[in-house]
Amino acid sequence: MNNNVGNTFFKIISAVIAFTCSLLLIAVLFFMLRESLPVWQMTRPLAFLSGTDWSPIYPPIQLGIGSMLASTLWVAFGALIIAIPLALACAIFLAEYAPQWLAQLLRPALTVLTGIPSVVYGFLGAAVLVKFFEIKFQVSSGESLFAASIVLAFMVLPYIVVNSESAIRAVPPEYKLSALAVGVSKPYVTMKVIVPLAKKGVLGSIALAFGRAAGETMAVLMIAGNVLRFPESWFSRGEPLSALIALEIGSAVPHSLHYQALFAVGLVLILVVTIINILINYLVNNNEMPRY
Amino acid sequence: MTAINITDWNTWYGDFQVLNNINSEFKDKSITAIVGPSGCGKTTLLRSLNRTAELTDNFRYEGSILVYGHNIYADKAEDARRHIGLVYQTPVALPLSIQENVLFGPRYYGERKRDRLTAIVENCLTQAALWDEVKDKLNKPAFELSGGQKQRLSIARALAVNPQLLLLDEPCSSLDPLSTGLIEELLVKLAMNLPIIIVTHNLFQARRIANETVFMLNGKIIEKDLTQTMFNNPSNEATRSFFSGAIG
Repeated sequence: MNNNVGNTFFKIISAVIAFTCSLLLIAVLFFMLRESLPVWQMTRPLAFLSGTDWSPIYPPIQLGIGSMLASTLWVAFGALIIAIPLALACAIFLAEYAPQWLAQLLRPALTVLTGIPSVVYGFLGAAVLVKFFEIKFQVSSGESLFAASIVLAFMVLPYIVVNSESAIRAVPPEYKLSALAVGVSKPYVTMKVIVPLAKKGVLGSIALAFGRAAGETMAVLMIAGNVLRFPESWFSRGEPLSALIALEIGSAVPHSLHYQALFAVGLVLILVVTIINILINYLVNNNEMPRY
Repeated sequence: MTAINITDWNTWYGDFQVLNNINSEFKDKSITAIVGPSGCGKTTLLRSLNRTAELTDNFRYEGSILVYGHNIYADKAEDARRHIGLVYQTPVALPLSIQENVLFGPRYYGERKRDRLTAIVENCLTQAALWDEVKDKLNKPAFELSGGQKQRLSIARALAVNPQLLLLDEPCSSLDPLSTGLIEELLVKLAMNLPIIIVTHNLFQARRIANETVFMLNGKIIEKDLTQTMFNNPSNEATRSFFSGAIG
């Protein structure tokens, strides 16, 4: 084959594949929107988001996902609150303090953690954590958004650790050397120089972790408690959006209002994750980030 | 007066010996230039002097280094570094404001009084010949400065902890002639008060500012003399070749 023809052929193939991938995203959004269209015609988006009554099958039909949305936010932000300090400490340790042999042992271990199926995390959470709360606090059911947050925190931890560690290690060594040359301690340099320089990568890893936490289904479904009540606190039981879809889609009659409402829920979930990602990106780009 | 005494100084990175039996003295209130081909151990010698060499894994040393009669390897490394400023080749602005770059060391050492801090900032930036350029934007991020300004900021940062000694590792190698001139000028001024040791690849720079020059080759000090003498009448054959450009 002529080399030129080969080049052109390769270019076209790459372009088609790239285009198909972006098309897929648009197709998903379009499909979700089309399937849920009757819902948006029936209720105002704000009422859909803020309403706390969910009765999609029997009249009077009520389509409000406020309780589930709140549950999702509790669970996901809660997971981040628990995971971020632990993950950052872990990333700093790996990048700055761990002896080489230990880091080489821990890094693959973290990668393995990301590979554990979420149903296993859910199972462990239900068998160990939920039981622990029941025995320790003498409650009839240990399921709660808090318990789900803890399990989710461990699920997203490796993502934050691995990405933050790369960001910390990417800081050019001159910064560390110059800062240490003044005679200050290593922790001082780490907190005042290295971590701020790695902020961009760290925030990126947090955005990724939020997406994972908000979308995670199996583990939260097994631990969060699954009640359609508005969660007053982190320690209430609740049913996050992802769990709602997973629990109800099997029994929903195709093209019924119930079915369409679940697609609307899916669309909301995508939008929540997207909005959080955009916010974090905004934070990254509008901070005075040092160039190096 | 002698500021630094180096006795039987040997260093290794793993099995590789970098410095080989260095014995030398450096004078107070004067500039000493260290020159020599790449890989001859200039930077390692400089880093030995403020104990940053040991930040590299597998670093080992033998011998002693006295600064004003005090063995710096007897202290904690942080304390030794505090008293011996080191400015690196790459201009580095820490991810802080211009003012906080200067106060990086003093704040760590517990200086809290506002008027003291303000005085340190103005004093050090003035000594580093940067005050006039930045006095109206002390709270701006330091990474907005130019390369030459960042290098002067690095010098100000080093001065802020009152070092007894200032070391510079090719501080002008990435700077334009104008910034280089400014830095050379300020080094000459600073040398009225403290000893300065500068590693340089630029022989003209050594000639312009150094009172004494040290020529190193393969981890050893080959010759050390007044700069004038070194350039005009070196006693060693290797020195002669290096200064004439035959090796380099």
